[in-house]
Amino acid sequence: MRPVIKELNMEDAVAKERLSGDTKDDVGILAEIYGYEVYKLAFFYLKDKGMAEDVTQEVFVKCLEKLDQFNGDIVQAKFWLLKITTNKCNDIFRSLRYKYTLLAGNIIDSFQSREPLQENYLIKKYEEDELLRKVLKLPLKYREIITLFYYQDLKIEEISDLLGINQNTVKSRLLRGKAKLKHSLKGVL
Amino acid sequence: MEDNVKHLREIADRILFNDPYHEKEIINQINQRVRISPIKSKRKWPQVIQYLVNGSILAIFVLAFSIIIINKLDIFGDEQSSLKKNTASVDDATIHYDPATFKGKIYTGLSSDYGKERARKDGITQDFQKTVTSNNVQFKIEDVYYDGPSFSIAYRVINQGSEKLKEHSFDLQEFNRNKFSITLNHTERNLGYGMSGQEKKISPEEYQGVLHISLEHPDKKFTINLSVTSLMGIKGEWNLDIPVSNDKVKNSIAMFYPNYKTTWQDGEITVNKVMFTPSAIVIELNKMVKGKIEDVMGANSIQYSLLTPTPEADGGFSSQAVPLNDGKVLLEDIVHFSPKGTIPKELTLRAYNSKDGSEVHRFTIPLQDTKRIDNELAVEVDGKTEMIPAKTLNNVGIVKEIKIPVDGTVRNIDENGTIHKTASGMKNLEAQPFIFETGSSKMSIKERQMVGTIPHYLDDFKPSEQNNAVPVDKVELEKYPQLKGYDGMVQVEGKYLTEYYIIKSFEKDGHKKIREIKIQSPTSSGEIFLLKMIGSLSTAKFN
Repeated sequence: MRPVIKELNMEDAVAKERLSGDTKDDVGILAEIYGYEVYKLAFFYLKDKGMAEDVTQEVFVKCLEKLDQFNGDIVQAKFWLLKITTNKCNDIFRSLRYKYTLLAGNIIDSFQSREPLQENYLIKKYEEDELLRKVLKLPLKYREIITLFYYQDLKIEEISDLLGINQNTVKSRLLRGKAKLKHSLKGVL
Repeated sequence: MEDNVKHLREIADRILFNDPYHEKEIINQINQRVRISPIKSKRKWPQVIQYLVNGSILAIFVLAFSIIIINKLDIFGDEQSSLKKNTASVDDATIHYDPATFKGKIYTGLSSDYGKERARKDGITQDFQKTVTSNNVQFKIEDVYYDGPSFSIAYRVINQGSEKLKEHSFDLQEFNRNKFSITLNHTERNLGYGMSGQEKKISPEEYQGVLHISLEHPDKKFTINLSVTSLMGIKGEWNLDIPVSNDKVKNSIAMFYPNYKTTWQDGEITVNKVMFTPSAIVIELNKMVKGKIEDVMGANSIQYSLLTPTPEADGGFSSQAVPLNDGKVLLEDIVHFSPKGTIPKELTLRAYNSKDGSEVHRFTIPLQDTKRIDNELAVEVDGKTEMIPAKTLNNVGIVKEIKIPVDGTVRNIDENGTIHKTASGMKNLEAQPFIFETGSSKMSIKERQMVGTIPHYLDDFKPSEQNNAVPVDKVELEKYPQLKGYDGMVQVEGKYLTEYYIIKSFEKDGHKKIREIKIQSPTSSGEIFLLKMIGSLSTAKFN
């Protein structure tokens, strides 16, 4: 059963107002509003900036190809784009696999924090850094559920629909993912 | 932890994505890419006429291309006559199958390639039919074809209810219109992303189609579970279990391991395996190239054409890229061509850069002296099971000595390695404690539950999960004197199993490589199955 996202958020409202009916312009507007969201999800999957950027572009090219079949329901736009993103990322894992052993620490170190380093802030920053490292180190099947649930704020039924797996599997992977995180963060938090 | 993970978005946005310039750059990249991408025009003609036109154009194109290829070969007159000479069959490995034994019902005109078209005509499909009806819509499986590289399902959708099928170009994979999932042996492996297919409209309420699925770890027998919840806009429940087997074609499959090497572009192409099935010729090769992955893939990738026994443009192609430490990339390619009916003594390929074809390399793979291999071992390489000739496992053993107690009996593995043909043993992996022991030190690994057969084992360590980083532990390895000289030990947690890899880096031909030995639990017969993976860990970090 396909879930209906009933709440219209600000981004969707703006998109609805601005869609012009011209295909490329409409895709451009969707890119402006959801482009970085797509990139962020791709990054959680691939853990590589360059690959995530490539996938993001391909998602919107796909969006351009399929826009006429999209049925124009703006409320579903973000969900639809996330679906294409997960498909593209899994295509990469399946048919063109990159065997990286990127350590999560390298990824975080490459992003410079813009927060001022205050003494009483360091502990909290360390805990948050560690959480992010551990999330990125999770096996893919747990990482994607954790990301979609906590980062993208999707509901269980929405994740089930997006990934094409049943809801019990989503719940089970969410529980196991959290258990793995808790276990790996013991002593840190 | 619970509180922190709830704020994952805030944390990640602050640490990873807090760069407005990067965000703008992403959007600019998207806009540039969209700007130069063509918009596909909508079909205006009736579906049937459109298919006929497309088919005719494609046929003309293929014919013209074939004529060009043949004419080009004519320029090298001597070459063509020598090519013709080399099309004799290898008597002891000719493919045989009896069309009278089989019935085939996969629809004509719906194959994605010549090979499957041929399989249909020759009747070597499974003759499996099953119908499920929900909400007055019939979903009929009409046939299945499987030979390892090729797996196809032919189906028909017939609407008998009052609710009409949505007027749309029917595509079983289309997100908005159809909802379905595919699993393997009822395990949660969603195969929905490695598919292609064709379909055609028979009437407004009847469609037929073929679904082609690529499987990561094809077995000889398995069950595909298809679950559909929406067809052409009509909701329902169509669940089918499809038993799949290569029984009808396994005697018609021949495999060769030429281990043929040819030098090109400062690197070496190695042909590892050539497989002949009724539906395809499958060639597995790899090549070392300079550069980064993004430079050598996509538009810059290497492609292959078949020149002999029959010229053919590129067939199906899948590629995997493994980055190496020395600024090179190992490309692992699988190329498909259409079947030729008999097995030639050799195959001639042409490799070229797909970008502009400016660099071309022609090479001939000898098969005549490469015997068909019956004596094979199941070896796990890079996470998937391969059958390789026993003889190529010579000199596998690197480990000097490991004493492993099994049921009170200590087994010694000498420095040449002990290779056991454990085809039957591997099917019965049991839960056993696994202990490393030497002298006074003992490392006891937690008892592991190992269930089922090889498919379950492979399911535990899907390649995608092995992309996660694993630390290399040097300290633990130092406890075992017989492993002195090795660089470290890597522990990989699977769903059910824990694997240990002992690794050693070495130089070969100026390239740094890492040799891995994987240790797993003993089989039910008490034999230890040592597996060797020659490959690379691109950024292994030593503690």
